[in-house]
Amino acid sequence: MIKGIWRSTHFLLAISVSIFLIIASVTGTYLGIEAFVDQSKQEAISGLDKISLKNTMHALQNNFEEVYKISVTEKNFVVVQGVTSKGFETVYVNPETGEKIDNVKPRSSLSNFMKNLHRSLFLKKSGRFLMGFISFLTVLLALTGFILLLKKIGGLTKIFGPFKESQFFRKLHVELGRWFLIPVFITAISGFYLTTERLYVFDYNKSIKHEYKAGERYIDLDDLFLNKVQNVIYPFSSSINDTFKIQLLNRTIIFQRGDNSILTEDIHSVPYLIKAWAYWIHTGESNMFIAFLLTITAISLLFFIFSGLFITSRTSWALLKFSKNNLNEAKVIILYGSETGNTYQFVKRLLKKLKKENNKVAFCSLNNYKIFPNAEKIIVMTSTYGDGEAPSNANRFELQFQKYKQLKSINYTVLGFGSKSYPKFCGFAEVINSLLSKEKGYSELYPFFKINNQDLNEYLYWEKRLIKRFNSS
Amino acid sequence: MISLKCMVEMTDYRGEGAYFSISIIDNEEIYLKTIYVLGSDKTWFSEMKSFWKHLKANNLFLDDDFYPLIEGVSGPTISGGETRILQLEIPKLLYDNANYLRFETAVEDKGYYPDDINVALNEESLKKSYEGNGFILNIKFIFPEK
Repeated sequence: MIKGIWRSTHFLLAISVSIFLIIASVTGTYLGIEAFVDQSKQEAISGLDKISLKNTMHALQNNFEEVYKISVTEKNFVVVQGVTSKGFETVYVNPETGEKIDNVKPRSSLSNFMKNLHRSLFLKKSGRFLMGFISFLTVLLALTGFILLLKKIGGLTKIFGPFKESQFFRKLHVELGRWFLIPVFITAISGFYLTTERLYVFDYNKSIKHEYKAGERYIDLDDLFLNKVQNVIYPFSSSINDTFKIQLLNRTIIFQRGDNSILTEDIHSVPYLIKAWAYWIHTGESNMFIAFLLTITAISLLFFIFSGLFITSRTSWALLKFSKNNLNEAKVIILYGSETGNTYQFVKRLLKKLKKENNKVAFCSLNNYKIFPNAEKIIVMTSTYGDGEAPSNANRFELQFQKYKQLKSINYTVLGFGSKSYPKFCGFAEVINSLLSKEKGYSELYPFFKINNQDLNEYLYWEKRLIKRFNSS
Repeated sequence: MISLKCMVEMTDYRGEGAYFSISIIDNEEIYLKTIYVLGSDKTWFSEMKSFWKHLKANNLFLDDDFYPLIEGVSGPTISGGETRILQLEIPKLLYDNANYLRFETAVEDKGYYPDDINVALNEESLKKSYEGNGFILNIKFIFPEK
């Protein structure tokens, strides 16, 4: 069953995350679009890396009686809290001219709703933990998907080459896989990091702190650009010794008003910086391109889920159900030969029936014939390909049968599937039947039987009698 | 209205951002007016249990005056180690009248302090700085220069 291990794992992961992933994708789509739209507003300032903090602080003096705080948000909005002629205000400003653009309004309730659902399903800490776990599973999903993709396409070098697939959903799934594998992976792993960070796995508060005497070092506000600044807290009192507190992306600096001499400098730890990066890439709040990419990634996840569901219904469920297929312990072995999968459907049917009757049963294709240490009964079910030929998963059986001899004496029976419209009706089954009948230690459990055109009634007739033999032997 | 500038410094606690409200209460702890709320997402206001009771009893959610009190600017909450400068507007009627300013804080899974700080509302006591019992390290006030 090693053959199916990636598929089964991929499938199991998908089933367990699908509901949460649907929620995350739908809300993610909304948030992605919101981030994109926000970047097109006039309060989103481009070229923050060319505007110095000194320039902005100077410009604000003309428009504010007193400034309390400047913040540069993740969305590249510059927000000032301070006193104007109208009293205390919190406004978006143009950092070059210091002029007000608009009042700051709280996030809309829809936006809050989406954000909460996306982060924690409204379940606070446990929800956050759950969504973090889902992101982790999504990382694994992307990895197992990648392995399946490589197998399908045939190696890393052919990743964008053509592949054969006629079924629409399969094609969609593979096609999306090769375009969105990396975005999905990055989105999932950054989301995972953001949640673990919020669960305080990493000690990011630990920073390196330097203290300086007044006059030892100075800060140059002319050389400090807004793209590096998170916020500036102005001195609280009018005292000459009072201090500014500046939070930059990688450090917090406290310096004296007047001579700009630095008093303390806190350098943030690495996890803090990774968090900032994860936030940047996961939210796309500061970059239209990332916001757009995240939005289509979220939409693609929905397509992944639904196309995946359509594909899986047959193969993967089957793989899981038969994971208990232990050929070494089984007393009853079903060997099958199937070209189109029709015979396989009957194999599954018989398997279910025999399990119900409390038989230790396992199955494999005729080509996988080997020594089954506990086998007492062998049931062969096979179709015939063309003119009495073996189906493709049975063409090596005769060789294998000569090579491996069973340990115990065997009761066998052969069931052939075919069509009377061919001259050699069940020709291959007949070959196997005569092979087994001549083998030493083999005795017939039930006579050779043929089924025409997959007739269910004929099959049920055979099954009933076979079970009877089972119970009498 | 009396304008009051207030600086809040938070302790270096680790955890979620704090929900934070400032209300005027009388000496029997009856809420007279809420003047500041930090946390733009009202879903979590219920963490501040005492304030929440007052909020529900007075249907403040339906009050047009209430929303401007909510700050939702650079992050909905105030985090460990952070400093904020707030502008408080206090009705003259409630000032100097044996009332108190109550600072209430709550942090998810970390606790809730209905009386992180209580300050008597008169000029004398607003000149001092105060240390908090919970998530607030200290607060200071200034009357803005006219």
